[in-house]
Amino acid sequence: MRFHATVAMCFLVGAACRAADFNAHGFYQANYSLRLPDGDSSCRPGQTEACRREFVRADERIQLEFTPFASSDRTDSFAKTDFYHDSVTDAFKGDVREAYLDYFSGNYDLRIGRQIITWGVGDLLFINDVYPKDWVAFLTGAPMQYLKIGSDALKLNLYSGERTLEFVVVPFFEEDRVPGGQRLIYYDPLPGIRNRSTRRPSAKMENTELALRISQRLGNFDASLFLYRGFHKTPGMEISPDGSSLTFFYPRLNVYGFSAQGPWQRGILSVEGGCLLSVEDRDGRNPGTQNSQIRFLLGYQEELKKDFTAGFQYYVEAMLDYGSYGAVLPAGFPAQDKLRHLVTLRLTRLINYQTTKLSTMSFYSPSDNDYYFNPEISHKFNDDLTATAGLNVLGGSKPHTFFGQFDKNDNIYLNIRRNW
Amino acid sequence: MKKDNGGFLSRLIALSAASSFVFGAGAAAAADLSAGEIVSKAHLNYYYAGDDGRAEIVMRLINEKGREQLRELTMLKKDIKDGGAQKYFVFFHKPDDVRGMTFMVWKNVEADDDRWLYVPAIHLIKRVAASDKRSSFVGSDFTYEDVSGRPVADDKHELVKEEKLNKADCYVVKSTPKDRDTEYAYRIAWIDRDRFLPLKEEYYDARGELIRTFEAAELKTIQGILTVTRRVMKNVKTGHRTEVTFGKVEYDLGIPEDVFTERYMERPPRKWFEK
Repeated sequence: MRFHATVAMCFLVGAACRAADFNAHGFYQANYSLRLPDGDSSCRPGQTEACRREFVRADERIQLEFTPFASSDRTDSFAKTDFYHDSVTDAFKGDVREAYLDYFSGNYDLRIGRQIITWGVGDLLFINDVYPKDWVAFLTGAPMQYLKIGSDALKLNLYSGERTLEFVVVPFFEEDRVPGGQRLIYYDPLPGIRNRSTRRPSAKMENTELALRISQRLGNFDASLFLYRGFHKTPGMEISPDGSSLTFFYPRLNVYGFSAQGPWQRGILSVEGGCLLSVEDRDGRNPGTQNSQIRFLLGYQEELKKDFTAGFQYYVEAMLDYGSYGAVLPAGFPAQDKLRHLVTLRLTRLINYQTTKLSTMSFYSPSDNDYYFNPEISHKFNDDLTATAGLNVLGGSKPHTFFGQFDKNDNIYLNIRRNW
Repeated sequence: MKKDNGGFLSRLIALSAASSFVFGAGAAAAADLSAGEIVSKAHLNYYYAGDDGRAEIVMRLINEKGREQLRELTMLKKDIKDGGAQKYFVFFHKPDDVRGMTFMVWKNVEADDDRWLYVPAIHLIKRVAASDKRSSFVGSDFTYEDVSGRPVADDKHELVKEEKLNKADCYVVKSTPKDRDTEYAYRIAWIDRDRFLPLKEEYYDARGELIRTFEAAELKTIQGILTVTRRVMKNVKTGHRTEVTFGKVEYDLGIPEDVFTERYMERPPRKWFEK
């Protein structure tokens, strides 16, 4: 009842915004995802909910997008807010996706507020994109845009001739949303320790994240250099000396990277690399902190024939302190390989005058021997109504690898969106 | 959209003088101009009008059952060299799921075009391959090449005949792609003999069957430049058609070249893109 009242309210607000010329737009969306049955119904402690055949996602939402203040040549503003009912937990929630002010000048632009920033050239593989992501939404069939979460940040873009410099300051830490609750089944190396807490970087000045990107054209390619000083967005963990409690924390991280993207042969070639340093644990002696890594990706995308595109990526990450990783890894913990290789293939076919889209995205790691397969069909009934259905299929030969741990989360999803 | 460095008006005057001079002597005129020259002139008039230009474009995609999809966009273009390099910037207003999306093309003559797409939902600018020139532009019956122009030198042209089309004297030119890089085998164009604009085109497959037609359904003189303001492309096989209307067309606005850079893809200047 409360939900329906709120929906009605949102429509009224939307109508009022349009009437008042706030340039308002938005949509209504219903998004459901059902876990597919798995032969093994055993549940890990604390995950009793997750091992039933059940909905891993069920939300009905209204998105409202508008320009709160009158725009001028120098200033602009933007807000995008979701109101939704999460039927899995029966909770009503609001989510400010973006809300920012813009100031434009001759050779610089300034943006302040909650904003989504996407860096790098990978397709669902991130090296220099240090901004928060919602992997739970992604793995449970939410539309792609919900993978990205806004950062409460200040972003300054400076333009000097052919070169662009983007400087980002994020004073308030926001972590990735990773499987950790009861909705998804994931690998938990310490199921026996139930006393758990999380320590997030506080809003102290010294915890402010800083990121810099310098871009320019090199021949036909768009090239960038990246620098970042901040924190890992996925947690490391610390066990208390007596072994009774577990604290998740976000280790400090510096990233130095590059990317380039441009035409090659008949398609687009993408290259990206980065060095991710866990600066508080430079020699990798702390098993609870992510080992420093070098990551590299090479991608190529080409339209093979009319309205049929294929995109291939090779990705590798290498631990920099593998020797000490092996030496300090507690007994009983599964060891990761020094190198993790991954290949991806995305196929996209548009038919019926691009009103129907068939796509598949496949990940396979030869080193971890695990996979993730996401076929999807999407159809536009008219300019305002779109339905999407797809599958998330994950698995592998070991229960602890990146995709393998999500083996029991295969799900089928449906998404219906109506613009208003 | 098209342009002329030497001043369109002067050429228009020269053209009309020439055409009245040869009036009634069509065969002689045809002998004077090669088929390639005719196509080149029409290409220049159609794609290179003014030094730069702006138009608010409405595309109606209509299927055989009469069901419609709508695309509304603002297009800017700037000519770097007449008949050569150009820059295009497209801002999508409708439908809602692509609103705010921008598309930028640096059209190169010798090399493949450079293309960028800005996806507003995740604030990402990415490169788009240019090899797919024959792909549909935003789901319409127009291809990317139809929008920004197929290089005249890519085809072999021959003058078939001259005839009247809706009272206009036309050259009828057959153009055959030199490489087999198109879904059609050849096309026949009716090019207005006085005004050098394509009024109609028919596309045929290898068996000689008609597959696609283009029609310049409405012409208006804007700032002295004759402009095709309504264009219809029809897929004869499926019955699907796309009607494009160019509204608020303006030429020679002095659009700075730096508008056609990645900076403005995320924040298109209101001056140029606000309706």
